Amino acid sequence: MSSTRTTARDQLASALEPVLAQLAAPPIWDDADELIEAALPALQAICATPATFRCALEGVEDGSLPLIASDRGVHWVHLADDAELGVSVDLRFSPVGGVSAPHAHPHARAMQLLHGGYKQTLVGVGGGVASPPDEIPLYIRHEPTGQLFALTAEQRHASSSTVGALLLALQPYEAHVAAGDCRPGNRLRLARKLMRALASGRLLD
Amino acid sequence: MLDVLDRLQLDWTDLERVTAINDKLLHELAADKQALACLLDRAAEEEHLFAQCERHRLLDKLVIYDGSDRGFRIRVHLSTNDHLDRPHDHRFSFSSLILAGGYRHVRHRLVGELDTDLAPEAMEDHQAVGSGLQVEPQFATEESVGSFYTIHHSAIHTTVMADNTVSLFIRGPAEKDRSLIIDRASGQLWWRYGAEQETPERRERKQMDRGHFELLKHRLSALGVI
Repeated sequence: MSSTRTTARDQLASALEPVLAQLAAPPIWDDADELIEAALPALQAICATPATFRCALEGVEDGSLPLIASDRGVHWVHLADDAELGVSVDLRFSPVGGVSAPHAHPHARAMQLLHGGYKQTLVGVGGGVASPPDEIPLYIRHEPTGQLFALTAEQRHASSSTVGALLLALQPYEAHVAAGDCRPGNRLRLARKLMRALASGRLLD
Repeated sequence: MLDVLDRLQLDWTDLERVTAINDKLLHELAADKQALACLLDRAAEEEHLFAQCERHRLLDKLVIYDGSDRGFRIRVHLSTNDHLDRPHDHRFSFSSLILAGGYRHVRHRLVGELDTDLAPEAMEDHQAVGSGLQVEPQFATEESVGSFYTIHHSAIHTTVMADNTVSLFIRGPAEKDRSLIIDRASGQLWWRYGAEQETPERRERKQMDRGHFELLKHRLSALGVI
């Protein structure tokens, strides 16, 4: 007999399908200005969808949502995607004290900081008058809870967080496809951390 | 607050360190509305400060403290009702704290070779010349009340502001004699110079009159900044 049990992943997919459909066209990933323009209403609508964070937490606990362990204690939870639009919706969880040296990502991202905060430094060659020829810190930012931003795959940056950070990300579909899942023990630990972050940010109300 | 400013000396060669100092300083100053109001009153009274207050197409600048001999100057910026997308760099590095309103802030990569000998006389948008340059937006964010950042003078960025956007702004010493402005659609370029290199006509046009200064003070009060 086949199972008809609906997982948190299924519920999330149903809840976010109409939200992602509002994008109407694939985002332009190599133009941060265009990307934030397209992603901003989508990220806000995802946050405003009541099922999003409850299902995210349940999906981490019941194992139905892919959970990927990255470098330096960072975890990604894959919430939903739309292959036709070429988008993936993910949660990124950074631990307290996380520090990363300057780096670029393989894919562009639009993100909203749901809980916590961190310092972000964009590095590169400025390009203006009397621009030093080598990479330097160009733009030092303090990202507070609620901040929205988009960066292309070319933009190198460094970050550090003394309080940890939970971010909602909209990124290209292929960003999550290549990633693998992580061990069951890590799921439970992350579920506890996620619960604390979501509750502190009043995202489960 | 004035005591703190009178003792302050900033070294902008270490952008990380100066950011930490400016973060604390601008937040303290923003929280002390009485001190901010006093500094504005002083700016109206002291000729060397008032003479530096300027009106621009996109922004009005009120210079409220001049510590140029110690590496900084503090300004209050108020957006006008004109909002244009004009990528530019600055002659100096600076930190900014948003007190009211907000804006889309974009960091651009310059594509093409910048010719710094190109049309040095082009100081106004109507004098802009073709540069063959383009910009690629690599980072974009929505700045809102409480946003704080520091930018290196060579970074090219755009701020398309909402009406009634107010920032507390601290700038470092000039690192070059001019900075660039590009029309994003056409790639046409013109330059911004320091006051000492501008034409008398342009200086006169930019100079703020006392009536406008008072108007801006009323706006700051209505917005709850002072």
